[in-house]
Amino acid sequence: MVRVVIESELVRTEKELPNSLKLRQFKDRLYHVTGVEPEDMEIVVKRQYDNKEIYSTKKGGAYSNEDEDANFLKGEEELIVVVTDSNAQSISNQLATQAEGIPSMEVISEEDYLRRDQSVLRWKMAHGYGRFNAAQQSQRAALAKQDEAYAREQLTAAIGRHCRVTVDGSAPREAILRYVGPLPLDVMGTWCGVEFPEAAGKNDGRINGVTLFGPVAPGHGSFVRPRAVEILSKDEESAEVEDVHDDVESDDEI
Amino acid sequence: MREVISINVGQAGCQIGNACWELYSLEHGIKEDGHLEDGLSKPKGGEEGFSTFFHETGYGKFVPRAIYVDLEPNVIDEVRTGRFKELFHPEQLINGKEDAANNYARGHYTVGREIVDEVEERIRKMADQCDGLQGFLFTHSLGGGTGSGLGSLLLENLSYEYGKKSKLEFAVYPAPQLSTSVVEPYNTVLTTHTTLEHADCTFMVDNEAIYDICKRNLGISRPSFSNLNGLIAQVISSVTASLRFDGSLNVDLNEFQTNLVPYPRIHFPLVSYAPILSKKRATHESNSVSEITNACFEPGNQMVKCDPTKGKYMANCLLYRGDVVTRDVQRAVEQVKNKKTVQMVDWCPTGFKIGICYEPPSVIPSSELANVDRAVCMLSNTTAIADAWKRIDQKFDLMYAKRAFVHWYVGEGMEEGEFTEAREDLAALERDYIEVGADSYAEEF
Repeated sequence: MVRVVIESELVRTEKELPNSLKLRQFKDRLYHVTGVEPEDMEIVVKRQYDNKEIYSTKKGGAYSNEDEDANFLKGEEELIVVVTDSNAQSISNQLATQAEGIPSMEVISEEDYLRRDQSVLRWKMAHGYGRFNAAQQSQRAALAKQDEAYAREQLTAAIGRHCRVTVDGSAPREAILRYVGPLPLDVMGTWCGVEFPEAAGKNDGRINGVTLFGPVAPGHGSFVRPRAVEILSKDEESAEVEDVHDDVESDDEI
Repeated sequence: MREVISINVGQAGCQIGNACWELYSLEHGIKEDGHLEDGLSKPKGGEEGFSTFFHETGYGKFVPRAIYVDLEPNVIDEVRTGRFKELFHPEQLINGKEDAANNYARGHYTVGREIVDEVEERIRKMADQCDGLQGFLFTHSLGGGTGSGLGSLLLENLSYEYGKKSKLEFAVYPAPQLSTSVVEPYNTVLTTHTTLEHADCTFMVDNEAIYDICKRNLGISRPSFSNLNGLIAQVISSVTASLRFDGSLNVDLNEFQTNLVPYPRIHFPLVSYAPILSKKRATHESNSVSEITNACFEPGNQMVKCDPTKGKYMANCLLYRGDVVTRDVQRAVEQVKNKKTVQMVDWCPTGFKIGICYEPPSVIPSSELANVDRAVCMLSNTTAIADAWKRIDQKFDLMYAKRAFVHWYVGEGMEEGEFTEAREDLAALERDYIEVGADSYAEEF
């Protein structure tokens, strides 16, 4: 048994091969690993430990008789076998040159997917998850409507003002309202961009590479639903936020 | 008793099996010949956990509950003559004479069919030795002929014979850049289609991710299969530690499914492991619980190349080993949850679970890996892993458009229809993942 590392344009692997293979059998093994047709195959065999070449089809004559034993497999050392394909038009060469860049085909249409018995889509439909939860959907629609009205009537005019941000399940944070409008994401409705005095947020005012405000310092920005935003009166504004507000005005932070 | 039978199929499966059993033996204090290490009166890790993976014979000898199968003799002959030759019973090691030539059809239909009855008979015999068989742990590659073809045939048949018993897989996924054969994309798509409804949970390991980790973290300039398999075994050992020792989470095989798989088709959790340190670097790192937890969210610690910051999590298990205290773990997990890059799916219940096993990981002496006091393995069901399917599907399409090498399969009696059927199933799987990620009701971005 001899351990062989096989390398070609498309493949790199290790195999344990018997010492007794004929050249023809050896080439056939390589064919099923690399996809290079035996008649197009050029082989260089090197010893692993010193990289010394011990066999090459390029040196001529070696393939006069394919029923000869592959003598280079008789030793004990690990070998490296480098396989090249001399036929420029061969399938494996075509695959090697186009390994990237071709988009996945439209294998299954929306309708075909819908027709399948077992799918996440069917599961969601059956259990009323996500958009298939009718009650939640209408509740969300109502909230979205309220959000939009609130944003239009009160928030759009309040950009630059101090606010309190309360997102479900987390403590209120004070911030400055910086943006009111849609997001370049797969989410519906109106959103508010806010800037925090410390890194209490999720981004820097950019989403998906689009700058909606700032950019501010990393982690100082977030986008929340209008209902999470409460505009503060002048007396309620805390000094801490005021400071940052001044910094931003003087462009120190940017 | 809750025994688990490991089934190692094909070259990669058997070689990883070797690395795993070497490590398991070390962790439980079993010598190469199956006897206890000198000075031990019983195996390490508690009776219950230990007997899950090892069977005790009447002569104070312990035998792995494992089956090795390959269609050609070479790899298994190495087990028969290697250092662990006495650990296994000859009946556990099964090989044919003729290899699968990297061809799923040979592994699944022609050559594989000739050996499958014998294999199932041996599995049956082993199952009869168990009081309460929990299920099976498969190790195979998705790209090789035997691993993909015979592996899926066995999984399918066991599914009919053992019904509801759990079937988990560790599957070597083809590397994006380094293929082990030119037809890997075909084999992968075909075997994934066949096993999709039979495997309960599949942990994928991509050769290239492992290769890069060996180069970067362990300083091995030209990683060999034995380096790659050693690292894979370390990860598998971490995943199975809770079954073998007295852990607190995923103590039973079916818990993996309960905790990680909300819907049967979405059963491919991403595995991350930390720390991965070379012996040289180990002394310079502190490896606090918080550091290793955070490291699990770094791409360099993932076993499959993909970008979880672009995906959503459906479930997450953090399995700690060694010297950790609950308070540190809770704090670390809290920090991680608040990370802006960790987005959970929000239209169905999701879980963030923690398991602690106080037995630290072992390292085999020849490994480049450093011995550490603590480690963590994260299993996360994230939609990001769909990247892996996208990649392999694309390669499949490139080849199938030219019908490249399809005649190898047709020559073994397979019909072209099976290619298109399998490919459609994988396309549906890609859509399934998109559907998981859809319907986001996040309140803050």
